[in-house]
Amino acid sequence: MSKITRRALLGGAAGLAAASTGALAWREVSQPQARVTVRRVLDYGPGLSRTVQEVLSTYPELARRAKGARVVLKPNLVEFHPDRPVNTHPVLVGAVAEAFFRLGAKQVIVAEGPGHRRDTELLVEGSGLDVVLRDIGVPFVDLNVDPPRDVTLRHDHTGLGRLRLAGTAVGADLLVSVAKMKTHHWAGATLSMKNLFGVVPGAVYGWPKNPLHWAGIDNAVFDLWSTLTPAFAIVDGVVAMEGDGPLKGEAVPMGCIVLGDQCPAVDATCARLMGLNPERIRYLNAAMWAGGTVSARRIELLGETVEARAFKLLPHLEHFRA
Amino acid sequence: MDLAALMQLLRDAQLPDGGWPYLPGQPAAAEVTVLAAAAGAAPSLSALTAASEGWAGLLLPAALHSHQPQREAAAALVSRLVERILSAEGQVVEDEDGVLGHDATLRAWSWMPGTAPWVEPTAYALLSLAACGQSDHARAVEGRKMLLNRQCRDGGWNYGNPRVLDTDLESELGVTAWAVMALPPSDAVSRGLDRVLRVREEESTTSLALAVLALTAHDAPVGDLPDRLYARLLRGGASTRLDRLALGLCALHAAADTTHPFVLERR
Repeated sequence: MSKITRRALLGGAAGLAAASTGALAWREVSQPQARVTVRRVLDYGPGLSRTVQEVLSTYPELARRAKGARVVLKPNLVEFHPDRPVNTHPVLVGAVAEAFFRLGAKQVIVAEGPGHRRDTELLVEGSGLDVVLRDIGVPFVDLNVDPPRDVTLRHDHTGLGRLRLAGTAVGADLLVSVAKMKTHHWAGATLSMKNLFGVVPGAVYGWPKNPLHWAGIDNAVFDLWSTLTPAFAIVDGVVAMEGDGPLKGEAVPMGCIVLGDQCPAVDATCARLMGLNPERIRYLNAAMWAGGTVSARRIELLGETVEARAFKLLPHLEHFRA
Repeated sequence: MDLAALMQLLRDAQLPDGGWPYLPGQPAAAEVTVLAAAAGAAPSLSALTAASEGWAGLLLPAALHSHQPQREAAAALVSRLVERILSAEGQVVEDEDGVLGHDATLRAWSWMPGTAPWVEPTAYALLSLAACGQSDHARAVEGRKMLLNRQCRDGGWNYGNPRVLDTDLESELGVTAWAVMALPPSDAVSRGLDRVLRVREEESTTSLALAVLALTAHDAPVGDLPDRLYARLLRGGASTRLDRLALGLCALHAAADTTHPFVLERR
């Protein structure tokens, strides 16, 4: 019989913080330089679309790859709570889709496979995403029932070796994680990397996608990111979630979006904006040791200055604080 | 209601291998084939056998119970599935300091081998055991105990965590409906049915279908829910996802008949 304890949930992260100080100095210089853009966005009004387009055009490699491409946007669409900011706002998803069309994408698809809620018809209608997508002629694909493909895990921190992942996501020319900025009661924060859980089909693994939990949430986040390597990450921090996230927390008006072509760098920047130390978030720490950029000194920040704030955290997550 | 026309839509979508996909153009999917069987379509035995391999196999014996010719043709398969259901069990954990707000030592049934037990697969297994006369088996007794232990404070069920880290979580209509179908009448089920009746707050093809199935399983009035469901199915027409069409047909049959596609005897 396996054991689950609060101590076990916390031990690994605390160990990371204490054990690797010397090695990190060496590790920092070997992280590739990354560019992350932070833009002030105070609401989900019409200016959001222009802002996204401006930022995407400053990533020339992305613009080159988007031409004629089949782009799959993976938002965070997890629950149906009109009064809580649990999902990536549909207006941002629509703005990103339009921006990729402007870059010359041949097709843009919005795709998600919620981890608990099977009823995506309800989620898509309830969140207002259906209206946004209908207006711009973008289809929604339910990744939970998408025909899967066998994929070998690149680093296999989970020990699962292979996973069956949604074919629409695996087969995309460009996979873009369009995530929500939220605290997470197990992992510390859920951002562009954790958002990738949605490419694991429930029709294969069930609701929740429990093999990933048994293999360790942080290991699974790391494996999904390092195997799928999304081309771009966009995090919705216009209205973020603090406290008991990812579902039961409170809205916090961070007033920003964070964008970049390296998920770990984007997520590390978001973590700092949330008052967290990204190197204590286990999946980000693992990404750093696998060649991802997490250290602040290796991230060139573009755009505008947004003040970090100390997000409220559940007591057992306090060790994630910067 | 022209149920025959909807059945024809479902039959028209059957694949050459005898199964059904979630969407046209895709390969057969186990869950859809099982739901199509429950709706009264006629999957091939080979399609049913393929569909029985994963978690959908937990529901397959229940799905065939009211379709005598199919059930007879698949008798050996059903028999093997009942044995498999009785020997399968979820992975239990010792929750030393109450991280989880439920009894994690009740084995019940999981979506996949080697993982924890959850509400929906447990409900499927209980419905199948009941359909095969195994309601009193010790595993079924434990399964019902697990479902009751996982009920949320709001009266419904979610995927299986009613409380985590000292916080109550909300229920979901669909999972509540499956749990209610799998349990005999009780105060807990009455609270679950009350939760199901909140379907107007979260109306979709699936939520309407499952609400009708849960209510009819307990001979509770369904009001205009079948009409609303029928209207949605008509609106979707041939573009309706096939699992939703099959589930919707199951519900409309349950509302129109005295039998139930998943429950042996209405309570």
